[in-house]
Amino acid sequence: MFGWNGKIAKVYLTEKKVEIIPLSKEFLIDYLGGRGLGVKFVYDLVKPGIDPFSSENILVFSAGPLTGTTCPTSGRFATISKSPLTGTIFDSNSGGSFGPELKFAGFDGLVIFGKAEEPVYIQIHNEKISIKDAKHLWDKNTREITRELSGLGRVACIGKAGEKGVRFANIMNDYNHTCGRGGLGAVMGSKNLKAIVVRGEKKIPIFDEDRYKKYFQDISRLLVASPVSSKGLGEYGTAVLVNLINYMKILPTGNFRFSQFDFAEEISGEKINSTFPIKKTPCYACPIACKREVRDTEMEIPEYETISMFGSSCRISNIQTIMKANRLCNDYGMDTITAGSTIACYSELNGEQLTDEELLKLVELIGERKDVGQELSEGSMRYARAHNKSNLSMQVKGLELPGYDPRGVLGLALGYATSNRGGCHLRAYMIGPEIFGKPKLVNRLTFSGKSGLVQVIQNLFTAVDSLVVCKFALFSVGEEEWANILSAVTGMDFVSENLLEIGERVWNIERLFNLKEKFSSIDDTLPERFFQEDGRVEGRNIKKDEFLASLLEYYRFRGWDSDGVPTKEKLQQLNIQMQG
Amino acid sequence: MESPLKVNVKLFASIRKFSKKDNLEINIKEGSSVKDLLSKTGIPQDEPLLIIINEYTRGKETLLQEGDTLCLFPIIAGG
Repeated sequence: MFGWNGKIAKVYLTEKKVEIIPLSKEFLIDYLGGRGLGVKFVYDLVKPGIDPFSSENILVFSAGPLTGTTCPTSGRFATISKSPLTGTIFDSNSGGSFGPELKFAGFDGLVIFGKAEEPVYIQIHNEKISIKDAKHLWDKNTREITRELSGLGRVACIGKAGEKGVRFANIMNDYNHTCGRGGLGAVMGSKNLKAIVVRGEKKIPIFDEDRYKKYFQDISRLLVASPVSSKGLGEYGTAVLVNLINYMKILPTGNFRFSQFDFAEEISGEKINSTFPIKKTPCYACPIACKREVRDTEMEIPEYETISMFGSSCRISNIQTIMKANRLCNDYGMDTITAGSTIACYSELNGEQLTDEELLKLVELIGERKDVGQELSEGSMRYARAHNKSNLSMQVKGLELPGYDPRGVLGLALGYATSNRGGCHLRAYMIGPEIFGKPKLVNRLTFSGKSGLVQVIQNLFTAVDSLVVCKFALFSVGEEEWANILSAVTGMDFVSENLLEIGERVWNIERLFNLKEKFSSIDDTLPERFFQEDGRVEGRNIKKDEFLASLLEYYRFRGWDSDGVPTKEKLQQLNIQMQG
Repeated sequence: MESPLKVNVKLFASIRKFSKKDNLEINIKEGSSVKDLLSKTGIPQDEPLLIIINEYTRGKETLLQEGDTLCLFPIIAGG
């Protein structure tokens, strides 16, 4: 097999047993890898209604057919499970170097079953897999663990947040690269699995080296020629968005009560670049190199989403405080969007403007699950509900919304509402067409024409998450180039339409999983605030009838019935077998 | 006789290197486009830009109106 290794390892923690199983060519053509591979395993193996923290849940780590080649931005892997934050199926992917190393060891993925009796870590050296005692590693955060294990290979691990069951705990790798959002770090913790460390020496075989070189050059040229990847992201990182998004009146401020922040310049990419000497810390095989840190202190430069949540949404205007909150989250291993949004919810609910010190203390208490941090570690939906103030939680399906106020980008509003993993911008990044005009500019303040566009972009992004390559490259590189290089690597013929169909197949399976978990069209909605309040921009509250009409149209485009259930014909067309 | 238009121009990120000030007030002839305005700011006409006029994304050929606010960013993206 070319590109893929054609096998995964099943690791049974309860029985301390490992089984290596082959993956068929047909399966890989239908699901590729990454998100697609993991979603299929979780759909097939996780029974409806189980507690995500129970030993019956599984956790998948999966790379894709391009992972470990030199293909630009391909150094990624995905993690997939049932989320303790949302109760939905949940995938989350990360850069760094863990994914390629997993491929070098000879695997396309790992599926973790059961629960270890005592803390363990998994050590992989080529195809030798051992389950090892990790009692000495418990109660430690991710930087320390990564340092301690990095002599053995590339490390993916959890911090105290994952051990203690913070519902938005992350899995971290290579120090600051993170599988974020839905709490898969807490699933790992519930299995008493502290870390996975992998080392491999295998080379990924490529079917047609000459064609590969040509397509590699095509993609590299596009990335270098595009000012998005070579200049915008490379020079300022994602923090460059703060001023733009603020000017467009879609910067979440004060838990989405307002859509502009008076101190945006203070927390902007421009401010960061003029304050700190910056060093780039690129992922494996990535020429964009958007990730950055302060040169001497190695303090991570926060991403835009982190700045918007700990900054404007909590109304904190000191960039150093935001950087400290970011560092704490990375070290404890927890999601900055949900942590920031949950604290913004806490702040509104209690009618308090937090000081910088209070904010940092809350982040720490969440990571430790101590005092009020215990309640907040449940995420904003559960926290607000416990205080009879559900309307103050800014989430969809339990996942806190990221840094774009949907009232000013209505395609994104529909994207948030229909996302299979809850409030997320990365299922269909409608900021591309609605703000940047990429690939084509559309009017941001209308639902008209959005439902078709949202579902196509969702399908494309799902395919990209299955390859797995970076979505930032999509601003410069189209699906045709990805299909070309995938064909050269694997020796199988892929065209753009195949990628979109794979994306659609995986999206529909995710929908089926969620329907079995009792999610329905009622959950495809937005926080009531966005329908009732205008965020201090006159007339900008979302009109519910327009939203619902757009949602129905979206279902029609998807080939689903008016309740949002995939029809038999659609499932047959996508070669999906219904279960149960 | 063409009357002059007054427009506000705000520069961001790497576009700031073209001017000593981040916020400019510029007078231009009626019927001028963004492209015409660029020559008055020192920003090269072929510089890739994300142009926002009064909160809407626009192109370089867009004609300017009295009182417009233009925000000029490098081509950026992210999330």
